[in-house]
Amino acid sequence: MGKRILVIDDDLAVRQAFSLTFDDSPYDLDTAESGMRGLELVGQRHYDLIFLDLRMPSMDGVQTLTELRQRGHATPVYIVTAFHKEFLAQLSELSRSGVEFEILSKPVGAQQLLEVATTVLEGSIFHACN
Amino acid sequence: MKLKLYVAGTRAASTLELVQRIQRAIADVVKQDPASELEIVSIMDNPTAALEDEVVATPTLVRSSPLPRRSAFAFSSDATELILSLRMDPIDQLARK
Repeated sequence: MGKRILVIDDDLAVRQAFSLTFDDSPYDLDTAESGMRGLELVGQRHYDLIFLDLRMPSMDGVQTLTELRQRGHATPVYIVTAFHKEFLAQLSELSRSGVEFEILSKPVGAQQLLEVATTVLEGSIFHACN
Repeated sequence: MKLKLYVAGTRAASTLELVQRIQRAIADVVKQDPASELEIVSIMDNPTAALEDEVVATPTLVRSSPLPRRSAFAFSSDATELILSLRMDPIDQLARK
């Protein structure tokens, strides 16, 4: 069975960009327009990786991740956000509590998304040389 | 060799486990280089450093010295392979293939 990725983001353009990026990949991709919808999907099927937007109306990324972990889901979650203190401050409490999550820098390109997914799902090693 | 491991936070069980695996791998792989150092950097506390090292995602391991700077995603990778790959310059890696 193929590995399945879930993207939770209120921005339609972002969800479409993810869909295009993973269209030719070996992975199945579902999208959710809100944290609530994302939690519904996670309750219905297994996901191997979740990309989660930090800033969303009504239920933001922090609330969505907290609820996900409280429900016992251990799926790797990449929170997609800019690397700025203002945004990262929202994640500090989660981090101090030992909640499992990773961070992906925003904006992010298609190649980087594929590399992150392949690394997480296949254990591959990707290098950057600066 | 100087290495920096960029993580989302320093308290998650998976991060603590990753740090231990990398420290073990460094001890195994770089015995001939006792000056090797591993610095743990929380992006939450130091996003500027992550931007300077062009880190895109956590966890990322960066070889900051010797130059050229090289980096690799470290999520669920074999730590020994990761360290070995960062020790080699790209031209050596090509020669291995």
